[in-house]
Amino acid sequence: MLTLIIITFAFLLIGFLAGLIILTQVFPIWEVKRLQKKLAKEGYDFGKWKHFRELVDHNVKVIVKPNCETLYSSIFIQTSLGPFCLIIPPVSGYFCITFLNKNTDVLSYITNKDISDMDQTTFNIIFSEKNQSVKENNIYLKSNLCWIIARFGIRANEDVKLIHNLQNNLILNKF
Amino acid sequence: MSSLFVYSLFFIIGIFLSYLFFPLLMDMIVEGSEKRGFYNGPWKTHLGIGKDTIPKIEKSAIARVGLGANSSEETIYWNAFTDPDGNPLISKFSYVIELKADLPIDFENQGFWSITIYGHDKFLVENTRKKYMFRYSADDKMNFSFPIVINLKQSGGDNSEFSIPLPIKNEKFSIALRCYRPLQIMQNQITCSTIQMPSITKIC
Repeated sequence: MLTLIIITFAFLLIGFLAGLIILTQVFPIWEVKRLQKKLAKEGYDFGKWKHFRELVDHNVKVIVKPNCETLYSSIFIQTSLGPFCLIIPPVSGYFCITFLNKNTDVLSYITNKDISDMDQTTFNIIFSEKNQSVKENNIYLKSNLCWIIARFGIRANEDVKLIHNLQNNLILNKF
Repeated sequence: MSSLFVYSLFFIIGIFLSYLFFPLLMDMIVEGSEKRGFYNGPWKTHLGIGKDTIPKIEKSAIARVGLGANSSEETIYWNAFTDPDGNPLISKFSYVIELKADLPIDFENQGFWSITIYGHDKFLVENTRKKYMFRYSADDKMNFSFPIVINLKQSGGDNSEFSIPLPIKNEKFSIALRCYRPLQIMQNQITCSTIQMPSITKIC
């Protein structure tokens, strides 16, 4: 009887540990795909920007630890269906675009140093099976599924309309 | 045969329990584990966010509290869950955050830092002022001088820029310090420990 109980709890423990190991391996991918499906349900399928237009407040419970100093624009693309052309309007405040794979690894990013504050800047997004650094405004991404997040720094509510204008002029097209 | 069924059942129950326990494990890694992440006083961060070389368990923990976080080269996310004595931050007490010197940020390239308060549920703290954080950039150098002192109180304190409300219920809270465009000194684990981070003082 005792042996039976011990073996039973051993299976419980093995299941518990196996579950933790599996979850640890897949959790980031799970979360990214969950977000992508959620956006698709809202009508923001691949290649369509979702612009977050309002500063978050205490009523926002979508993602934990939301920040109140940037407005986001988010888009998912299938890089292998490209190449894509990314057009960024002139931005003078804090700006950053991050390219992530399904595992939340940051593949590349663009900051204020890489763009103009006077005129729009164009980048080419190209699927590549090799890791390559950004060359002559070509961004090589070694991942089919790519999550692109643009962050616009915002100082006060008065900046919101300006940011909306920038978001509206953020363009991603297939060649 | 029936034994095999029982063993399989408990194996599946074990997997189910791991699913329930997983968020707690991730929180323990983010908030408590000294082996995961890097400390400077009560401030904890991870200097490898976005890299494909960090352990999966750390990547999962980061995804839980900061899905889509910027790489550490672009933003460094510090969090404080305790005061310098190791006591959890609890909203029934008032606290003072003091920055005696500027943080190593690339202000010339639009870098800035911010301090935000989160309740025990990891969301923004409800308050009528809708005041959740303090932000500092190059534009503020003319208006603010060091030391910068930020007051954290349940009642919300005064209406100034330097006062952030804490949760009304007595609960744990955390402080997030986000450093956008950190200089190299903050990105390196050795030099990072030399940075004078904001002090957190409990006012009983």
